[in-house]
Amino acid sequence: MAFRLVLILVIIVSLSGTVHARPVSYPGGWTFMQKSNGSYSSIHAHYSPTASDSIGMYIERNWQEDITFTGVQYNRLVKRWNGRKSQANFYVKAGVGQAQPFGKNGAQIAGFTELAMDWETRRWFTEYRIRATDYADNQSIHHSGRLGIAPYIGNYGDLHTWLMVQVENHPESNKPTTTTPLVRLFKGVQMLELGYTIEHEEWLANWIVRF
Amino acid sequence: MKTLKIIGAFASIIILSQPVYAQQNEMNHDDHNHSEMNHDQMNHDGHDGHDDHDHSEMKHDQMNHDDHDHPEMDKESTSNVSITTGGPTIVATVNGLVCDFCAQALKKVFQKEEAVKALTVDLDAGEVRIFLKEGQMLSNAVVAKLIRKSGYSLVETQLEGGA
Repeated sequence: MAFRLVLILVIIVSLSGTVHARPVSYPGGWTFMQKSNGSYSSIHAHYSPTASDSIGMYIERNWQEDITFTGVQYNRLVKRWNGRKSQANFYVKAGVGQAQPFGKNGAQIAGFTELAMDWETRRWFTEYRIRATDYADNQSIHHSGRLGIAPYIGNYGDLHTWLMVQVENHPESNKPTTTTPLVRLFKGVQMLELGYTIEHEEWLANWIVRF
Repeated sequence: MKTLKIIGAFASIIILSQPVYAQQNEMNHDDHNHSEMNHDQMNHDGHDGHDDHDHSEMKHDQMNHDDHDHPEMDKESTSNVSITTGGPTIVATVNGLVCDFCAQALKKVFQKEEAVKALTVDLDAGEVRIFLKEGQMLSNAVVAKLIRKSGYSLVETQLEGGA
């Protein structure tokens, strides 16, 4: 079921004819991202020397794998499509650092890589991500897809609201497929997401601010 | 309980943070005050319909603005803020303008240019209005380059006004 939904999202993204890109960073901009859900909590602070690159620190406490990852993350906007009323992006992300098991010594070299693509208009939003991690002895691949709609169209400077559904797949998990309805609010340089993962009965809270 | 604390902390941070972008969206009028300005000192070159009355004794804040236009001013679509720079305005039609985060990139890039006085973004129209300082100009090639540097693509430009 989850794979079907992910497949649908991928098809939507790939078939969007007038796809064009969006900048998530601007030259000289700093971004602070905090994510928290039932699986992990993370902090990512990065600097963008260009509109296509960013580099920064990434720290993740992974509750499922009982590991803390600390490392450097690089994000690359590989391709951006700008349409008259839409935009889409294709990103590659990679991180390398160390993974420290909870309550144990012996940090090991660890890393991850991720492919992400999104497409959005002012009304619709779609996103698909696939992330492979190698945290010490734990290797996993994780899929994630999102579909969102804006209940109203705000203009520049307004409070923007999105209603979204996020579907994730962790093949190794005892509940491999999870569904998280969430609301995304953003105004100016700040974005806040609040959601609830039904299967895990856990809250999701993400916050992003740009400088 | 733990998650509620986290959410509470986020809410506090959001509330206490300055709405930086929203403020950038508006012109700063702190350094001048129209209420003390006499009407006869203003530039009326573009005004219509003033032939039959005299405002020379009237102050600007006492005037009725319903029946005339200020061609050198341009209202930002997102607010009732007027901008007067004395210089020309470049209206750039841009592809990919779908969110505030995107528009912020344009502001950051263009505001580094010496010739640029202010910039507004109209997401509905997909347009960026670049207000230039008096006597300044940006070529189409430079505008296209700066928009590309911001992560967007230029469709066309139009020039309005100018000294």
